[in-house]
Amino acid sequence: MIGRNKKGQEEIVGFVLIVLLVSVIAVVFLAINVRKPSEKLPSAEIESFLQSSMKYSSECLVTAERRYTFKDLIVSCAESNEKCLDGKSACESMNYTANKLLSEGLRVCADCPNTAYRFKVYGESNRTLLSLKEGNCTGTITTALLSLHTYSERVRVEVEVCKAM
Amino acid sequence: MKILNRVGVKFMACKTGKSGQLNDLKYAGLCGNKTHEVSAKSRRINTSGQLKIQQMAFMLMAVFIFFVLAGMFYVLTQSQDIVKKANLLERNNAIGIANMLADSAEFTCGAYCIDADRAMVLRKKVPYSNGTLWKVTSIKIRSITNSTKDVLCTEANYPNCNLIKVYDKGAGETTVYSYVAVCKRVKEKEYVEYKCELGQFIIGYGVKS
Repeated sequence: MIGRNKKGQEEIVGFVLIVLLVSVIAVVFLAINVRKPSEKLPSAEIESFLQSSMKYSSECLVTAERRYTFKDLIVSCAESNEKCLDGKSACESMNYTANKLLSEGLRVCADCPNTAYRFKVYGESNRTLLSLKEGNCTGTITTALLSLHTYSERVRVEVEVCKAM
Repeated sequence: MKILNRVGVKFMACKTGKSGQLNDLKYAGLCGNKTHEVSAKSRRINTSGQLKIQQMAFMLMAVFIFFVLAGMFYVLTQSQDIVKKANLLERNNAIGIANMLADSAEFTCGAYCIDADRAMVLRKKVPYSNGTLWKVTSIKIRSITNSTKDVLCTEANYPNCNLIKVYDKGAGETTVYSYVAVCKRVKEKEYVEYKCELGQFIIGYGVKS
């Protein structure tokens, strides 16, 4: 009778071990799946935002007749950092314009479809010209990338927008 | 084996007729009847085997149910991801239509650029004004920079406005937009300047009335 009980106990211990092992495997699998960084999806909307922003007429006049677009400001900031007639440098003006475009174009709020954004302008060897971000990213990450060619280097403009879906 | 041995001993005890051992036997009343003794033995073996089979069946069931639940959980999370991607693709497709319309010769001043002056003229011309040319229920152009609230453009207030309604059939609709640069000629001091703002090219689609 004692022998049979012992055998039964051994089997229960084995069963428990198997269940524990499977549970541990499941937990590890889930942890890997949950921690996996969200995939960045290319978005036509963000692409159009980026492309049309480049044509935006900034407040930077370099001569009485010539007004810089946002694209001109990025290129100028990356190359020679010219001065506008109002005394601001191209980089300062680029920073101001980018803030204006992002806050009005990709509004982030509790009820908005956008939960966060990140805007980055960088040259070769990851020289950062501008980096802006707002909000806490939840939901799907959509992205768009644009390359601008200056005389000396290639400048990349990258936007990431988190959308609550 | 212990059970078998014990039964065997008892069987032998019956055969030899030792009274002390006979008293200990559970099946004493059947002593001397070989067939009954064997059936009791096989009943015990069968019960033990059945228990083991039952145990294994429960184990298999538990493992099966566990994997089914884990699989269902995985499929559920994956399908939610697919729904998200499908929504985004659908939206991208609609934005593609908006881009295509914004790029049409009637509106465009380059890639991702809308000529607001031209749009103002189009809104008065048939077939653009009645919406028979395009298969969308409405077309609106909104400048979003330098404007806190929408001011509908008319001949009287243009260019000091931000919303151009090319046409609107007024049907219950879903709208989708694509970002565009909304450009117009503006008089700045002594110059006429071609200034571009960030805007949205909004199209409506849905059940046509």
